[in-house]
Amino acid sequence: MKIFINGKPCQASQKENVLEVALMNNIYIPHLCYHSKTGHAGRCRACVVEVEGIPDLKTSCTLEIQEGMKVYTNTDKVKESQRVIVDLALSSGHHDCLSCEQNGNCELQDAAYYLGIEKPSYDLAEEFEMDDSSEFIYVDRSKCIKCGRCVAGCNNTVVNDVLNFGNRGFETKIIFDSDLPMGTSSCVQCGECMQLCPVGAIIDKRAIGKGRPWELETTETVCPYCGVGCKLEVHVNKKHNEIVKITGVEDSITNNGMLCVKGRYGFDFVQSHERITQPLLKEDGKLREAEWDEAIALIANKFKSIKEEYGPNSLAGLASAKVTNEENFVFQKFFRREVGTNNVDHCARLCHSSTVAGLAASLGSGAMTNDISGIKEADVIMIIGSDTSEAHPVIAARIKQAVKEGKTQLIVLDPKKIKMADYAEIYAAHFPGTDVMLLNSIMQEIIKNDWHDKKYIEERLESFEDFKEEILNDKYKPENAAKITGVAAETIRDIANMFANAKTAAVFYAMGITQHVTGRDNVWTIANLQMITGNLGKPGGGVNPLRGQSNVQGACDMGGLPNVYPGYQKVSDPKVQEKFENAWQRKMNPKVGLTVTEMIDGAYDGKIKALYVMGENPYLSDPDQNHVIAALERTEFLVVQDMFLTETAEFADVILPAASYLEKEGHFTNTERRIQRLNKALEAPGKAKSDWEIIQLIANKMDAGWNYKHVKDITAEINELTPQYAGITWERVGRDGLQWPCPTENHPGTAYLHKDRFARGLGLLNGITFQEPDELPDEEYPLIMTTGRVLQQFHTGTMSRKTEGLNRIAGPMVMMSVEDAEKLEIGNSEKVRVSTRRGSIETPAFITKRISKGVIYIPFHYKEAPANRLTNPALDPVAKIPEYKVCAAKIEKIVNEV
Amino acid sequence: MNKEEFEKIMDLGIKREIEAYKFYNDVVNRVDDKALKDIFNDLAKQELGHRNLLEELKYNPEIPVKISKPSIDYGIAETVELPELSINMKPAEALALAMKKEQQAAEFYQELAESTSDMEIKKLCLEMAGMELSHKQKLENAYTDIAYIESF
Repeated sequence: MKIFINGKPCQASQKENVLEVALMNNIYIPHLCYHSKTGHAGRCRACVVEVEGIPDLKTSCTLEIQEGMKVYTNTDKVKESQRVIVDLALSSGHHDCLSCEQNGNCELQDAAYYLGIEKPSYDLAEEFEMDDSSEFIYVDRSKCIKCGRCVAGCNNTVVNDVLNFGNRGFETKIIFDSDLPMGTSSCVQCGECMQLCPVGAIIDKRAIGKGRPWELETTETVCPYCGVGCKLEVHVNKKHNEIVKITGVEDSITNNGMLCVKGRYGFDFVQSHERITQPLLKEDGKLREAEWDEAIALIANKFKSIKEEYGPNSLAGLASAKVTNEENFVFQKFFRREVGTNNVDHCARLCHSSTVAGLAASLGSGAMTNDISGIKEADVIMIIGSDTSEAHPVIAARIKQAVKEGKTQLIVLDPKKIKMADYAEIYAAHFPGTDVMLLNSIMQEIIKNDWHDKKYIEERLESFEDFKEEILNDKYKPENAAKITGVAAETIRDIANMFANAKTAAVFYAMGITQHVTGRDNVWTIANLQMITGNLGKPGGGVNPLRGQSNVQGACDMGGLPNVYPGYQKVSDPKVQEKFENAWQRKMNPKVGLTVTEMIDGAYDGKIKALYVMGENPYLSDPDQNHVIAALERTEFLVVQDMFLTETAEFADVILPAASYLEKEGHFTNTERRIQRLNKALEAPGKAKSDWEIIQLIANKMDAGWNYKHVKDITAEINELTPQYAGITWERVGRDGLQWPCPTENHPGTAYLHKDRFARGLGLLNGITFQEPDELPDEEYPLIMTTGRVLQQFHTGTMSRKTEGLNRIAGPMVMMSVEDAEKLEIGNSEKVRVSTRRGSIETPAFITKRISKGVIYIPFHYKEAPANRLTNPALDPVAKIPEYKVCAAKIEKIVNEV
Repeated sequence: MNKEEFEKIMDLGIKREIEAYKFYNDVVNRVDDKALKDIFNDLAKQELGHRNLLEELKYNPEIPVKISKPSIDYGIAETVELPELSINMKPAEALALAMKKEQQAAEFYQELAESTSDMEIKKLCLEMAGMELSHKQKLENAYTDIAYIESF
């Protein structure tokens, strides 16, 4: 359709309103309540326009498009009306531009400037107390124009349902929960309200006084925390070389401007005084500073001598889920080409190796099948074993949006009553480690009721009859499953009914599914469910394992694994070996290398003499901490490359200072297989270098002859050797990135997998037999302990714990039920001792109704209360993932003896 | 281009489609793997469909037949080597073989187009090449579905 604005012809569609069409055509209309994300509100009336043939002025944000309509935005009548409205908005608050943090970014100021209003005509300002209670956000209601964007953003975009309008008439104000201070309300401090606020009413507390907008340089990059891959914009005051704030990129396909509290505020680690800025060498048990030449020469000589004396397989390396694709690529190349071993792995082993094992066996490929923006297409979403709003908050927001919009029904299955359960049609708490029993029982109901997709099964799957034989076994009858899982039989039936009868249903899961000795079985069972209901190969459906770290997908894709080169090309395949030998002009080792846990065992046994750790912290991330400590102590030569002197680095012989995500370029690959660009916003501190530069220095000292002059040289080599990435060149990535597979430069990338056929041809159904966890409660250890993350912290805390505000919100704790606390006479926040067969920790109790009786939960981020001192190192036999999610434990009161 | 020349080109195309059909059908009878059988069966059916399309065009040249050409050639077939036919081949190799054959067919018509100065013949050959490119893209999409996997 075509409309005319001020005589200018403008293309428009029925979905748009007049304001949107005007803005798209660079025609400014003052607007304060409308935002592209929250839509129209018709509240502020600043956007009024005149339409030919209509006597009254109309708010352009609510004005529907009609073919040929003639709109005028700048007539005297329009401007006068706008002037009155904006004048009243200015008069109703303390809009003192001189000292306002929003000066230069204020949309009210823009409107006043456009309309030529120098000062407000009236003094109608109400006095409000400033709300300084939140760690990161400052609320000044005297500047609030009651536009409602923050309320809409909180309730409809991030769907945290905290903000609202309180009172009426002139008394109207924004409130948190039932008018609590922001800091004590249920606000998770995601900052969405702040990002949407058009004036200076909700502002970034820590940015105050650190620079005006025009003094700040902005750089778009990718969040360094979880695997969602949110695009963010970092604002740096170059005069002081200081990060002032971080905001979400509004038009990003991954996060649509949303961020979580870590992504937005957890950046203090970058400019922390604890950063290592110079190489450190250990001498006589003490660390001393060294120059790069000395450190590199020492490493190269030591690696060479160990290789000569004990062979290449006596060296091992941990790649990293926190560094770029390019850096992981050269890390594995270094080990494979210069050292001559495939002993390369990283902590994907500890989070999603069972996903890959289970999905590769059933579907042929282990990647997340669908994309984030497709979430809104699902009619039913099942979340199982994923505390989504804590670990992947922006994906949680997308799911909550879909639920709130009425399109999607949510099923949540988790031992904890997680926040997402509040949005669920059905919530059930099953006991940790009973996933296969629960899902098999659901599938039995589906088959018995003839709800399975018979056409899909006939055309696209195999082994249905064998599968059915196991699933229809009486042991999976809902009444029997109820005894094992703790989920009522009727609930199991309701879940089966809702899930199977949805047109499109998706499953989202994370480490609650994968970190078990039956991790591969759990994953395969989810694949079974999605296969028999025909939910794979279509938008909005799929099996969606949520990757936990910013680049865990990329680290796997780049061959940071002991059995595959980049692109999952097997090291044991002679053709693949020949390909890499030709490319790298060196004989390649065809022997599969060691996994993370095998490396630690090897170091403990003395078979691994040298370990090179890049950006990982096995001291806190690996199971059975005492064993890890002993292994690190026994390692003859340990090199750690990191931003900080981590707990693991304390054992190192050489520590190399690495650049942070804001100090380098390259790419991360997010959970939905999207490759996105990191851009440099700051110089690295002191003598810190990008990881790829450090690796190249060591390699060349070992006579590698590498000649990467820029990170894009590595990207080009990745394109050449990694078929999935062949079309994702440096030049092509763009602002939205591209999703692999993208095999050529003409290919648009792939939003969802298995469209017409599975990667293995036919999907393989497998009736998985339920097996209990490795360690169950007994008289001595009567509780089931499970572990996980909290929203405000990340992984081993190396990055997130450098932001004090995050630490103040989220410290160590053990979550326990009211019943267990009463039985043990433990009060809330009381410090308790938690013990398992492997050790003890002391930590405050957090008593809640959100966890079932007999189950306790400990986040694993904290070195002062390390959950992994307690976890069971028993492994899944195929994926070699440890059982972090279940072990037997006990809790004791700490009695101080006098 | 006279009627005889037109029919000659059509016959050539039909012959190629029949040969391809026979080839895929032969493979269907030789392989045991159900997934592979399904793929080649599907390919054989597609070739029959292509033959029917060309016959329709040959006998009813006055009735417009839409020969679709992809707006963009992904060029995936060009990145793989022609795999050897074997009863043990993997599904991805089967699709690679098929898309290579479509690539070769498209190249054949393109070369034919280049070798003639008759503008009508050139146009027809380029249309035939476009048709083969469209088949190639369909197979490339299927190949992309299954060839680029995550497995470790």
